[in-house]
Amino acid sequence: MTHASPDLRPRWLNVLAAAALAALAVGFWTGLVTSPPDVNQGELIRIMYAHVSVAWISFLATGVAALAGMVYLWRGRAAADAVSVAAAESALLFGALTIIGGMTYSRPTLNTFWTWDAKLTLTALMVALLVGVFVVRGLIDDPQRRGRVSAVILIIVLASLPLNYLAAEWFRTLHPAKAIDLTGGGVTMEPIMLQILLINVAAAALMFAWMLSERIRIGVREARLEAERDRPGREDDEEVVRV
Amino acid sequence: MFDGLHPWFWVTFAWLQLLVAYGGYLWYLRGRAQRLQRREEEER
Repeated sequence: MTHASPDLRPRWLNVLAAAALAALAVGFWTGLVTSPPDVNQGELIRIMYAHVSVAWISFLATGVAALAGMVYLWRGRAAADAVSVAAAESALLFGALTIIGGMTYSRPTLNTFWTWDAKLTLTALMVALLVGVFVVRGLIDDPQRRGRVSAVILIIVLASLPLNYLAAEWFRTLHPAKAIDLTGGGVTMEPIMLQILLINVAAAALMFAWMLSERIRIGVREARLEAERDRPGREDDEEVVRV
Repeated sequence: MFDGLHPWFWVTFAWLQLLVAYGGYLWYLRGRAQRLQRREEEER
């Protein structure tokens, strides 16, 4: 049985990359050019498309990371850990973008960069725990223990997401209430703005899918290399080669 | 310090963050894949 070389880049990945870049270009155009100014926020509403889209995808990426972590805890497959850590990296990227973008949105609209309200604090906690995943992974040499510990942390992060989602409703302080309420409150947003937001969410989702796919390929190859190095009898093989 | 800034400054800054983050991460992945490629070739 022959295996495809890991060096060969699959065509679907190039198609995904092209789709992600095209969607991102459309997202930029609609967000920066097509969108009308808001009655209250004026041009600043354009920040909302960038901020909300990455915030939603940070939740999605955290969910993927935690689910793959659960699969790793259940089955112990190295591939599940590779998916989990790849998604966790994206979750950290999108989480950090959510916080920095939120601060950029908050300063001109609410006159402050930051306050320790419930939603902001929970989001900061999510990012801190995701940083913790990589700190812990760097400290543990055993791949199985490393995968198990990071999976448990990711499940804790996932458990905090419903609270994070509902925090803006339960604790009305700085963060505005949701304009799209999945708990039955409906949509309180201009249809054109909703369309542009959804385009940007789709663009961020495609970027996530592209980055995740690239990172998983690297993770699987790294795990294969690590397993090959740790293979029993490998040193004997090398001795034979040297002789 | 930040009071007099034009709304388009904040808008541009917010969208630039996306470009820098996406571009930076993809650049990091490219470098990591290249380093991995070298290690794989050394192992062969």
